[in-house]
Amino acid sequence: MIPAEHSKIIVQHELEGALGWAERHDARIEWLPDHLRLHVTLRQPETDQLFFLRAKVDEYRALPPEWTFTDARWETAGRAIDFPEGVQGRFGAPMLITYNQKAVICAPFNRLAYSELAGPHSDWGGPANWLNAGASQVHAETIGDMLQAVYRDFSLSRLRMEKQ
Amino acid sequence: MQAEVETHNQHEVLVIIFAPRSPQPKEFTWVKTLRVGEAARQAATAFGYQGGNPGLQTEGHPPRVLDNNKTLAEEHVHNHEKLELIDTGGGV
Repeated sequence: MIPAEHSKIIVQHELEGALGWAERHDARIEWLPDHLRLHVTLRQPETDQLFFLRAKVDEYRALPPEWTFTDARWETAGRAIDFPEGVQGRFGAPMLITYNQKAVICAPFNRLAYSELAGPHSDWGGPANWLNAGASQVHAETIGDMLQAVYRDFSLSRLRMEKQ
Repeated sequence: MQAEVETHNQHEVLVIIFAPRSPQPKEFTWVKTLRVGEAARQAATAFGYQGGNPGLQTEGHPPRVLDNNKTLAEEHVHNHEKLELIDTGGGV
């Protein structure tokens, strides 16, 4: 169990780089330290539509954040209608997928990608092994790196997983 | 002497690299024949990255990801260009 204050200090330190990243990518980051949540608004380059990316960072960095796209009120999780489509790009399989009828950001830095939280991966050694999991998969160890990794696939998308 | 310096510089390019984890960019001077993947690896190391699959992308919106197997010259990287470090690993 990681004290909330510990996770807060780490996130606040990592936000120094992430806020610079957001400025360069037309994104907006809101940090809610009392709730240990990050709200990130992203603009889809092709359509100008807004998407809402949420991270729960309790237990960070012992465990990775729980990343998901949500509705505009930051309340939902795993709905295809809130997710950008996954596009097969030059990086191989997309990380934006559906699994058991739920949309998920499938990468080692997302707690929701692990089978312990109903995600697809039982082969990554559990969420506590996130820094060593999936050697050939996209790798990200800080909040800024994770945002860039998600944005990399997000910026290739032109639609939503499911029509609004 | 000035001519010598200019000749030397024609073979090099100064690039400003941003990393998502760092508030400040870093400058690198590389020979234009350096492969993008090697330049990305050097930059990643300088920013404290260990492991992963580093690559570089342009500033555009959307950005253009450079080919790790091509040289900086082949990817038309120009002097004082701003690039961003990314990870090129796959999903799923």
